[in-house]
Amino acid sequence: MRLAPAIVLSQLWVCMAAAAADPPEPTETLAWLQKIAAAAGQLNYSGTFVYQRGDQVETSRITHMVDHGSEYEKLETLDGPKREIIRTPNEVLTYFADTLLVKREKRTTRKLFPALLPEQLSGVAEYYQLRKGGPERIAGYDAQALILDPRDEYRYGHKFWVEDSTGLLLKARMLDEKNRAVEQFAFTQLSINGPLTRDSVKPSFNVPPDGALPDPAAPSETGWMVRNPPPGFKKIMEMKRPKRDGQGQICHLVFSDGLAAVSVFIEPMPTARKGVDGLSHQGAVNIYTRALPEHMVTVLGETPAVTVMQIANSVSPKNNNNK
Amino acid sequence: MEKISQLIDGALGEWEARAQIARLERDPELADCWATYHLIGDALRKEIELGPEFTRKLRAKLDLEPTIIAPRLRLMQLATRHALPIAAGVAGVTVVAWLALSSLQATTPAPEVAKLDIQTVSPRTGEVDRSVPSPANAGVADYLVAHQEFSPSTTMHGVASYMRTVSADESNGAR
Repeated sequence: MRLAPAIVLSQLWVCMAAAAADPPEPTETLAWLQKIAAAAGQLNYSGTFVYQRGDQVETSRITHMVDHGSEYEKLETLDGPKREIIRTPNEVLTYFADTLLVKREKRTTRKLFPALLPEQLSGVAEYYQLRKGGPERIAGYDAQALILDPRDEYRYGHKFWVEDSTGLLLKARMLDEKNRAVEQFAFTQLSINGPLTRDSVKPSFNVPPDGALPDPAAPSETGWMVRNPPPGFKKIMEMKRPKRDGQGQICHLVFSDGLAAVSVFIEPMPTARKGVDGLSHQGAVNIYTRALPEHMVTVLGETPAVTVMQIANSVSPKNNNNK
Repeated sequence: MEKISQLIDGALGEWEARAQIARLERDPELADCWATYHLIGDALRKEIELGPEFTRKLRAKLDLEPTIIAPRLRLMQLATRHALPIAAGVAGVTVVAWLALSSLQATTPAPEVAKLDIQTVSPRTGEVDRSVPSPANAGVADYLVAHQEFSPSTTMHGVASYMRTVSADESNGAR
């Protein structure tokens, strides 16, 4: 193949301009989704948004800045005890003002393609019915509504409102099978491409020194598998991560249908085992914990409970093939 | 460009096909387009294996390319404003582009993907806080953060989706 890789991409866009005239609605909806993903990573914006789940509403301030191609983000809650999240290319810091704790999560994720993971997107049309809604107005901006209805009970429905010219996601709602909102994000005030400096995305708390963090484990085979995931959920990640106390490792597998993700965590059975086996939830995220003979399996994701349960119930060691 | 797609689809008459092939030989831009379409087709049919080396080089090139949004948007608007006749082979080209890229990713299992670890550290002393609660709830909170990194919702919302990890839950206090 003599084709220079960079040309592939640039030519795709050129070819697209010439060819992608008036695509059918699902294709156009997918194009909007990709536009959302690209905009989310490339635009400078700051604003206030509400996060709603059940009957709870919380207001937060968000700032997103791109500096030399890298993203810097800051999220500050405005209601209740102050919580703040700083996301940089290297780490995610979470600060809880009430307990004065900072959690540090190292990231060494390399720059992915500026889009939703493409492998995932290709499945979206298969497991969701896609259509465009009408034009609407959100936080003072003209928006295009997109509706994604699930084709089975393993995923929630989604409605997105996208800013017309930039593709920034202004509002997003996740819906259960009875069309009730499971959770909703919505900007109430927003400034796109306004002037921002690195100071606007700096933490407002003391960042502790890095300290002796355990070496992050390399992505690798974990020796575990999910025999019977719900339709459309494909494995997108597999890795081992060190436990917080340095005692052993946790295996982490991620499955996604393109819009929702489910994580599987497998760890050696804790000596003080408690609360194993059961369904709980953190807002829209369902969590199911299950005991294996020597391991504890925790499965969580922004999906209906049936999905995390089915995944949890089909976790097994890989070498179990001939059983 | 649509002629190229028709040519690949075999939708052109003999004379028109000959003319297009002659143009291909003269016009490097058209030739690239021709190669791109074939690459997409091959990738879709999984006839080629794009190895880690290819992906690495592509990433390197991508890193070098400036991040530009406006031209893309213009192209998209242009594309939707001026409806051009399209050949069947190109009708889903936006989707095709993702599929083609998807095979790049699929052939490099977990490239240089995230390695991450989580620790709770006291902001005052900078010391790792080992006293922080215990497995059950603290574990789930860590898991939520670790999960969020890979959720497509983070790709779309950015850090806003981390509200899920810090939201004060009155119903079950899973934090």
